Amino acid sequence: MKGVRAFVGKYLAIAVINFQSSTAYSGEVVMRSIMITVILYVLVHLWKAAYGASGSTVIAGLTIRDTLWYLVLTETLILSKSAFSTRISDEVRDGSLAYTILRPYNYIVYHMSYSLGDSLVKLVMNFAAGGLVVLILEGPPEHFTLSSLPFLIVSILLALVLDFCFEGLIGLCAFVLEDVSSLQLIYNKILFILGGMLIPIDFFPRWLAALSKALPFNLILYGPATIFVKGDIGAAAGVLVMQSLWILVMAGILFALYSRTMKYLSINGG
Amino acid sequence: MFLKRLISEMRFITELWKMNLASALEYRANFITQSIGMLINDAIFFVFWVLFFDCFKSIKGWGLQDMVLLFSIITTGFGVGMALFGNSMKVAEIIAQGRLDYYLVLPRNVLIHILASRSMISAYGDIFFGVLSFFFFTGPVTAEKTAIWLIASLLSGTVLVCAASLFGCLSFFIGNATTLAGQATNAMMILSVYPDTIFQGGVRFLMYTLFPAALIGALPYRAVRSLDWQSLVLLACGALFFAILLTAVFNAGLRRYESGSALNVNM
Repeated sequence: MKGVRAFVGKYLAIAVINFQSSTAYSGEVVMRSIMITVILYVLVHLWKAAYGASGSTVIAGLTIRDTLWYLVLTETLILSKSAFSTRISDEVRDGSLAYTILRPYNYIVYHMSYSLGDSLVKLVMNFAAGGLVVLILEGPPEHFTLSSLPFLIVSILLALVLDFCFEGLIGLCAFVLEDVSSLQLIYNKILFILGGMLIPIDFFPRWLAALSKALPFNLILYGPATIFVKGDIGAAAGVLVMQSLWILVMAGILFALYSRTMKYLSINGG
Repeated sequence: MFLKRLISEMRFITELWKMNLASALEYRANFITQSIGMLINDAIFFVFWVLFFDCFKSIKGWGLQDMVLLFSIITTGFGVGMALFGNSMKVAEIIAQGRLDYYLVLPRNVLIHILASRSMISAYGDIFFGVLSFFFFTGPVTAEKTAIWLIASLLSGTVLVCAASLFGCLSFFIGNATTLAGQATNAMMILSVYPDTIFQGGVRFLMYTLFPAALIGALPYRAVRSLDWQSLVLLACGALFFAILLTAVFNAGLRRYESGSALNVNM
């Protein structure tokens, strides 16, 4: 029990330090959330025009307000998640890996904790900025209930962990490829479409919606966003179960690959 | 005298461009990976619009083909602009870090030298996507349409390079403006890739003036769609205006610039 507490405490401290470091420059933090206000401003006008042109108030089970709040959450998540594969790639290329990998922590869990601290600050700022735009231009979310809030928070955290697993797998490729920016770019683009960032999966043709829902990427964006806009606790529990299962699978693959990579890693220098 | 100087500067820029291309091609695998990565990036937005118009058919007079044409102009303009003047996105950073010193001691036009000193490798992917989408997905292609598309794309790229550099010049006046300039440029790009008809009032006015997103997207699109040479002339005037404004603001800023005596190695 003591060991577990020490383990959690160590990585929590890393997350807290990075959280504090991210909030130290408040002007910079606010400046970075300008982007989501512009994106949401554009999306409000685009979707209003689209709903107006269609003549329907509900499309694929979503009202205009549902769609816009859905986009607030997906944009928030995509702009707040950490691209830690790039950090691993940078460490491999500039050689600082030789120092970071020898420290008394698990290299992967360290990066996850580090990223979490940063992501939490961005999540709050981006959601506040994006939400404010939609709140002013369109109004509050229609179906969100306080009872679904705990499910939403857990789902967002699980979404970040699942994303960490994919980022970690891409990051480990840096041990072979050095530069993983193109892999990272492709992963992000998969999230844009199959994750449901640009357009809710409910709007997809049936075959693409089925494909997207069978793959784990929708659990990073579409899952939490649906809990937020639909407030359906039964469906929310289903999302949490699927997220947990996929985390087990992906984390298993990640740590197996990590320990295999460590066996073959040799660092030269002095 | 002026003509002689102009020819000399043109020769110099051409040499810089040749060197940038040779340097990009030296790491061929990286060049191909980055270009293909950008091509996929652009194609994803194409997929988004396919899915979007599968649901909604048209928005305020814009359909899928219109969006592809708009995108082909912007990606080609952005690609050419960033391949030739790749440092336009980094002006704020260069000023803030005191890296202007290197350019100031050389007997060349400082602004042009800075902008043309770097080529964005992934921009070649944008050019490839732009050309491909124009010829295969924007309806019948005629000689006139191609000529207008090419000129409109180049002018769109000119406005983008000038506006991005102008945002970067803020570093002369307010200190380190790297984040602000980056955010302003990205915001302008976001506004430019959507139909301008969905915006009204002040935002639409800004898009045609201070924040020239419409000169990068909507106006060149209209020139090509309607084969309208008048819009093209208007766009050329806009591009010229932003080029003059950039030169004036940069020169005014240069007078305020103080060297940090930082040691830099340009590679």
